[in-house]
Amino acid sequence: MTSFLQILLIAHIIFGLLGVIAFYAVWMGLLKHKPSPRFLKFSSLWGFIALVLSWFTGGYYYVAYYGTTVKPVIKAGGYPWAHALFMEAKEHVFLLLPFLAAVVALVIWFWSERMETETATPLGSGFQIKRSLVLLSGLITVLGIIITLAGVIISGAVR
Amino acid sequence: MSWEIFIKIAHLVGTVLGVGGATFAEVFYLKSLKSGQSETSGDFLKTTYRILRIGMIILIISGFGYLILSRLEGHAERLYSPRLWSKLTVIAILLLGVVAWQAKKIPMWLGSAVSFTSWYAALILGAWRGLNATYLEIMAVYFLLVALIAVVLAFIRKSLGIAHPTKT
Amino acid sequence: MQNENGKNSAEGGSASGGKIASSAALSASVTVALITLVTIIADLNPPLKDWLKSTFSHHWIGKGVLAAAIFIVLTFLFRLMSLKTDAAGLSRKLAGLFWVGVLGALAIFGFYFYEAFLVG
Repeated sequence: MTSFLQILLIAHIIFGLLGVIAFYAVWMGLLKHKPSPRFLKFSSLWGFIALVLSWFTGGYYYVAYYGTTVKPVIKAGGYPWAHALFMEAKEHVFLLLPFLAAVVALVIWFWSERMETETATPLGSGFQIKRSLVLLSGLITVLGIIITLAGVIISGAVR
Repeated sequence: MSWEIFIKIAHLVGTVLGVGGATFAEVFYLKSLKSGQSETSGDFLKTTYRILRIGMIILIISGFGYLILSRLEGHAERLYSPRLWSKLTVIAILLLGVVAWQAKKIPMWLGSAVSFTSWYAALILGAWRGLNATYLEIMAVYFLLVALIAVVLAFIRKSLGIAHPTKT
Repeated sequence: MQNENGKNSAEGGSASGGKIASSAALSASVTVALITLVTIIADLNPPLKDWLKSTFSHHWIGKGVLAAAIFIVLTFLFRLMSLKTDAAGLSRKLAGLFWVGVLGALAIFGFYFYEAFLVG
């Protein structure tokens, strides 16, 4: 593997981790009694950017190297399901994340102050939006964790 | 300094901040309960949680640094180690447990036990090279320890005369 | 703040921003559903996968490019259609997006589990 490809692989993993960490922070931040709009905006925006960067760096590595060099090794080795299930699922489920993240970031940027003022009434519309954002940021986090662990499984099969 | 040494130092720093933070979070929580404050008020506790989170972030990044090194240096078999997967599972339980506690889906006594046990379990698993146990064996011991720690913490609270605030 | 019907008008803090957010929520649901469908259908229908490969040099790049294009186009399309942007409507769209995301992820995992272990 060339140095450039190594850097891409490392960047893909680090940006992915940062994206998941950021949306975990969004998830936790939304669960607070008084969410901080500034913190939520910062975390959701950087989380979205990190996920997009992970997408692009991983995508280049995948298209330029994984398919021709790594995949055959995995499929011929002791753990072919690492590609057949985990890589195939991972590369497609990952595609959902930037769009989920973009929506969470957009809603937070344009609605976070309203959520603050309308959270007082449990059935208020601000509360409903906040609850939906909790679900979405939780989904991004959980899918991100699963995708990360799938990456560990895939890398471990390269022998 | 090689990348391995750098990652090792970072991981140790994260461990110090995280495990130390978790320990002091428990201590400050007991102190705040004893003094009649609400569960998580108090500057010390809030600062401790912040340090703990920083430790966790350093641990995650450096931990995956170890995995990246293993992959790139031809030691991919390490990524299938039962000890590693137990550690990853424990960390995932810790992270989700904190969310569940924040969302008031689990009581503080359980969140406390899970957090405290998970931090120390991750430390022990990381340090115990050559641990010869399966994933299921390690996880079984982990869950038993969570229960044990919950009982111990409850005993400590009772002996300090601390009454749990009722869940609102 | 109440509108002429005496009901609370829970518009977004920034009117145009609220509309974009609402439009994006709806278009993301469509995008996620399409990603899921194209993923599964392309694996079952080689001509579709071949078309993606020949048009975009790689099937996965094709799925990503199409998804991004659909998301952006639909967001602006829904924005122009001036869909309801009240808070209640937005929370429904977000809840819908959550469920589409869950079902999409489960469908993709389930499909590849089936392909990896139950076929052939």
